[in-house]
Amino acid sequence: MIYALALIFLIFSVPFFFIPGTVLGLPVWAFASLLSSVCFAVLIILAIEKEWHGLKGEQR
Amino acid sequence: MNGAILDQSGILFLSLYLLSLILIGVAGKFASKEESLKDFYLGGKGFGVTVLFLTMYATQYSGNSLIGFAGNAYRNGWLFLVSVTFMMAIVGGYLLYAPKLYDIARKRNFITVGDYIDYRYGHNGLTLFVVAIGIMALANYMLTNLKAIGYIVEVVTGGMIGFETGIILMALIMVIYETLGGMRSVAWTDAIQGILLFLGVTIIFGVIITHYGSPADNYETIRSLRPEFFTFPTIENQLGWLSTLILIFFGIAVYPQAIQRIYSAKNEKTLRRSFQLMVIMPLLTTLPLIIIAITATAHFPELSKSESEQVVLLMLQKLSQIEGMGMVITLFVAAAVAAIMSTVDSAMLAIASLFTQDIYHRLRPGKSQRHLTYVGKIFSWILMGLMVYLAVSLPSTIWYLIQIKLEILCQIAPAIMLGIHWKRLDHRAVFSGLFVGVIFTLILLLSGLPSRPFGIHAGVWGLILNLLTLFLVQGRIRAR
Repeated sequence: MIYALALIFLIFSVPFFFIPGTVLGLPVWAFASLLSSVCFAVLIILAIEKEWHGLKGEQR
Repeated sequence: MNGAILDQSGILFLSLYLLSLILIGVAGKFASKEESLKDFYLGGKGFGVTVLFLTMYATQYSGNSLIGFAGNAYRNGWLFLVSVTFMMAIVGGYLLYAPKLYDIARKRNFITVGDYIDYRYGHNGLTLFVVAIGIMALANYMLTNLKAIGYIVEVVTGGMIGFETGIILMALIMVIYETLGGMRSVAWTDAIQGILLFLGVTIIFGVIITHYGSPADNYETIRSLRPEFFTFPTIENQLGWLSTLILIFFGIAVYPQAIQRIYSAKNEKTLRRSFQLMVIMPLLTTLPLIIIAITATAHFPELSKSESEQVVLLMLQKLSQIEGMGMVITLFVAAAVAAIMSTVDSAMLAIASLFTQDIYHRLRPGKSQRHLTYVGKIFSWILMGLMVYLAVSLPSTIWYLIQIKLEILCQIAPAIMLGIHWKRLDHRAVFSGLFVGVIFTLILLLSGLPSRPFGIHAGVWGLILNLLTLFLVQGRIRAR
């Protein structure tokens, strides 16, 4: 689920790679890349919290 | 002491820091509860969030992360933002196997990655193959980092301590505290080293941005000097990004010392919190170094490749007339030394555990835990001696061969990541895939063929063939 979300997010960030200009001294594509990294981090943190599936109880 | 980067107080600070590592080693010895491999190599499996997170952090960020990354960003500009993503992706890699592996390891008392391979597949040849690849990759890590620490010591002391003496001195300190307290000493020293690394990067970032301005402040200058930083990434660049991400996702996430740290967590919650903190660290460690390096292009525009690796130091040295800057430079040097030492000591501990548990223990199954722990300590000294000899004497022409590590190491990822979820995966399929992947990668790297066909790393091509072979052989086994 989390990996699917990350993939969707990455796909939606692709158009930013073709927008000219700068944000805070970074080209738009670099800013988008940085933003996608931040979102990726949030997704992984959520995945660790919600989708941490160890062995089933009886197997432990 | 002509040309020394550190003044006398800086050298004193560094000496006190090194002495404190030995004292921590002694403390680790007194804290040990029993003479067993579990206690020596996993710290009794009792690390809480603070120690576990800091040891993971310090181990994952080597000297290359501090020095090499800045140099790379100076040369390649914003393209090197990929390093922020790939340092995060490693935690994504852990997430693929760590939850289940942690539970199994807890139940079965695993010490090494070889223990898991042996338990999962029950095939000696496969276990030894994986262990051999792990040892090769870790030895490589030790060698490159030992060489780096030798150069740093020589440069910062202005040649007062030479390259060879620097390596021997640092290696001696590491092997002493490692054999005194094992994983406990390594993790505790890592904690100090992790704090130094984080503080070093944060303070240096603050100082440099305050005095040189941010990339936004230097935008016009950077744009005129390095217009290529602002052009769109080409398809080749993007393929390179993807390839690097895949290589690191599958390679670093299965480093034997990382798996050892997963085993040593006190409980599941501790492990989860540590991973969550690890995800944030690239934004607080890698990103500031990239910003520093790109700012540097406006102030130091014509650096060669080797000079670009010293870009942070150059920026700090130019500010040396400012009061207190000597301390900041000392902090940077200490952070670099800490980053390297924390990587070398963890690699050494992991190799010693792989040798003792997966090779020696198999050959001498009846030996007591006390005897095995003793053998592991002796092995650490022999190993460090050998690594120091190689670091000092290997000619630079063969360093390329030594730097092949992730490309080979990532080939063991299917054995771990698929094996943990796919109950019917057969050892013959895994062994065949691993063999084909390793051989194909070596052919690409060592022959005259292009090592990155279509911009994709040899290791990634090897991994693709590895998986294809694995699925093919597994399909044939299932069809019978």
